[in-house]
Amino acid sequence: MTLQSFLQSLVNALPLMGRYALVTMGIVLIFRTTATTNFAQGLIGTFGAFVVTWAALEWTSLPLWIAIVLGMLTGFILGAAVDIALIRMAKRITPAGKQMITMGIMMILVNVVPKIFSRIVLNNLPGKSISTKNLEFTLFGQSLYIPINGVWAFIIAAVILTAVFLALKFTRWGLGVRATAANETVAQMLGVNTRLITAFSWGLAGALSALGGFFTGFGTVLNVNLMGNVQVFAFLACVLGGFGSFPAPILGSVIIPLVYVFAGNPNIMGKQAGIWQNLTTFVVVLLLILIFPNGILGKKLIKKV
Amino acid sequence: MKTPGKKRSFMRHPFAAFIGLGIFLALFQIIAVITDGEWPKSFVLNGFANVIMYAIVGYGFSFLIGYAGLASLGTAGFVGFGAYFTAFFLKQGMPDIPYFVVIISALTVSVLLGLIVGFISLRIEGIFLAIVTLGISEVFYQLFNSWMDGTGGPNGASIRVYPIFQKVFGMSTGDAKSAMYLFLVAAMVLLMLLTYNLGRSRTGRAMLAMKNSSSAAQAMGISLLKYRLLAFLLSTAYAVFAGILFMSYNRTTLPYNYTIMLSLEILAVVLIGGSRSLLGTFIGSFIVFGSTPILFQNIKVLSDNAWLIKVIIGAIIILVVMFYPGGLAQLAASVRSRLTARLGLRKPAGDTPQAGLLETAVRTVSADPDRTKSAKRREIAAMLSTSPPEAHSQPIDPKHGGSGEYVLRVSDLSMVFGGLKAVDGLSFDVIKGEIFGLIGPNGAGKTTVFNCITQFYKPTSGKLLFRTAQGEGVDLNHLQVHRVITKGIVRTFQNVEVIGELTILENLLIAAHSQYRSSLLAQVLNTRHVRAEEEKIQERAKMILDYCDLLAVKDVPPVGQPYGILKRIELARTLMAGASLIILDEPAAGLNDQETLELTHLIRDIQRDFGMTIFLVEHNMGLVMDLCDHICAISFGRKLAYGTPAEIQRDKRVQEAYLGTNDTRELEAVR
Repeated sequence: MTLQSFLQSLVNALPLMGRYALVTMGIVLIFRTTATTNFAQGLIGTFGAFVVTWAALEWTSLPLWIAIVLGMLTGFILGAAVDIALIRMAKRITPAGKQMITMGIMMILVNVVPKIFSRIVLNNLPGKSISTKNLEFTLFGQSLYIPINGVWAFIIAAVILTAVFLALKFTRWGLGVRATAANETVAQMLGVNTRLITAFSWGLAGALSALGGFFTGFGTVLNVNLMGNVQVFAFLACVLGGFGSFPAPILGSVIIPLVYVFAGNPNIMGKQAGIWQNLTTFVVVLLLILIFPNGILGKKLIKKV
Repeated sequence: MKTPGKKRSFMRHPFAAFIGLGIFLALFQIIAVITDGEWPKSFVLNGFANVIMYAIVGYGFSFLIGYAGLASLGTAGFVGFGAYFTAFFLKQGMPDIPYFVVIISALTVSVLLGLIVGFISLRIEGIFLAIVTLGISEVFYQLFNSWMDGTGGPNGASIRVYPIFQKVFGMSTGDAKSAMYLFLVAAMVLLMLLTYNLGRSRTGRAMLAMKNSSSAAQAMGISLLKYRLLAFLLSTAYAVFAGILFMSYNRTTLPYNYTIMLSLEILAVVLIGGSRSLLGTFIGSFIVFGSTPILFQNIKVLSDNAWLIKVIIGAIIILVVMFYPGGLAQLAASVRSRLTARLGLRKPAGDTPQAGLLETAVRTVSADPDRTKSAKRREIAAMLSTSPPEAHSQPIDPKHGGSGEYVLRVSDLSMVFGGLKAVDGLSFDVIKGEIFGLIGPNGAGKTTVFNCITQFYKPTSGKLLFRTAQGEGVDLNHLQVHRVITKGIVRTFQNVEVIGELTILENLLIAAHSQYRSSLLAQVLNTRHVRAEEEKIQERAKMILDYCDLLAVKDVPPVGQPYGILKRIELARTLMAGASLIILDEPAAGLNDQETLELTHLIRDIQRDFGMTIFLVEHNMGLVMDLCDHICAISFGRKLAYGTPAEIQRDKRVQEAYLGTNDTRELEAVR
């Protein structure tokens, strides 16, 4: 493998990291605050991505960033609504039961979303300010390229995730989230408004997922399965990194894109690499999870009996 | 056979119901042949074929979610594997391979797949399992979608002729299809019968125990490894088999059939039906897979809006999980019990907790004078000892103090968690036939000692020697958790671990798990030997329930019973296990004075009648001083004192540990 091919693969991983990390952050926020593994996360993001495209096509004079904010807002409302309408009511239900509830939501959304947006052809966004063109540059004497929207995906994800981590660490909301994550009942008794905390966490997760959905769908024809693979990879990232803390899953969503790009690199995996890219990635990631069943940064808990 | 499980199904004779359903389904095909396809139309039959295939997948899935309590989203991949495997070997251009060889080899591979997934499930925590199995299902999907040469890629795969009927018997295409339909019906009915038997056998109970309390299950001798693997193996085999049937009947398939949506639909099938009800699962499959093609085909509004049905099914999943976890089976049961109550017919046995019976049970306990009860117990014990289960327990000299030889020798036991030494170089002997107490302030490491002895924790260092009833010496550290009971040690739990989804009688049967000898195949076929074995063990369980004054509530689930009853269920369970050493973790915690008194009598009677050695941890000093022959007091994991109750009460260090010190110099040193 040449240095050029190696560096290019690394560069290719950057936009993926941005997208996966956004969705992953949402999943872990929800898991830590409400002990729910949210299988509807991807579809909430898809819904948001549809809204962005719809808004941009409907009002062509609208700047793209406003359309994106609209999409994120939709994701926020949808996420918060799921928490308020269902998850909050299901406090006494086991985590496995909550998981099934989100699977039910997934089944509803996957059938509803195409109906809502059936009238419009949702293809790429002509004449909008994020380009599908490539940015060409040289690094260590090698000429490389990266799609401009991919650069944006990585930068925006990095900025937003840094902001979320700082907020978790330094704001009242962050303290509330961490308290709720540690023990919801106790947090409630000590005066934390856990309902607000969980609803906001779900909402934020929805918004992050919508942004991830936008970047995933940018420049393609949207369909309802847009986030299918992204969600599975984001979930596997959480398991791989370890569900126990906020940063660990992000580590997972950095590793998986690396596996993905090298699995698709013909210099390593042969001519057919592109066809088998997804399969190879799933197999490698599952093997990694078997090696680290509690997550790379996770600890094994001894159950008290 | 009168199995306690009978109450859970909603027909009086489930076998008759299954066969009746089979005949009903077969009639459609027969009428279609007679009327030459006028009625029912082929789309109706195709619809039913789908319903049947996915019901079979559902039966396999119910072992996971209904019995073992494991969530999986890998189902779609396994169904697809069955379908594509069949297509691969039966497609044009392949050498002639007999159909049954294909089926058997597919099932063999499915067993391997099931083992792999089951193995993963042991390493991954419960709710993340759905994520990992979804990943595995994706691997299959990618394989179907990408392997152009083997699976046809996005174009799908197909087989040219119907196997057996067309190929071997030379039927016409139409006849072969009809025959294949009848084959599907027969396969489903057969699997319903087998699934029913297995669900009611000790295997089904063991899985339920594992789902409700993995600690109790392990302590009762149930290997988590074995039963998790078995649950995955069964569900995978059913799914693969259904995939084979799918391909054989439809002869064509697309990779798109096997996405996560299929796994979700299977989940819906099982949840709607009630996760362990066979007829319920069939109806669930009809609602999810059959309603659109069969019922709504001619209703234009609905057939044009098939997506709406899926939305409703999604909503039903949510509603069932949130408000009606028993699904249709629960609905049927409550309707039936309401009907019988209204019509004044036969009272439904055991469907609802019988408060009346419970009250009598409680009253007899408190009204009965101790003397007569004790005598009654002695009688029951005598009857029990004539038919000892495993001859673990040989009644020995009931005189306090026993024969002087040790049953359990703990030497230099240490257990370290991170930097914390919970137990630190602890040594003591428990003498045969005595009641031994381990006391200490909160956090002294008492329960940790128990967990080390019963191998829930592997001690950091130290030796644990146990002498079985037969006099064989055993190093406990070499045993797996679920093997401990087979040597004659059984324990109770501080927070009472009973199996809520089983009746109290069945809770006792769980403790006898390692005494059953019948093979899995015999259980599936429910042979006469299995029935006789079950009856014998049930008889003994009833006697033990009688011994513990629980007979009146035997058919009620333990959920919601008073603490005193739960504690006695745990004690009864230890008797059922036929152990020679029973370990009681805070038996009196949460009991009122009256209940504590009764428990004290019961423990003493048990020791007298069964000659068991009893080892207990307890905070209630009255009970400890009253019952124990020897006491070991510990603090911060170290031994403070060992001796008779009187010696312990006088011991200065024990008093200090409990009450603090008066020593002014020491207090100053602390400051």
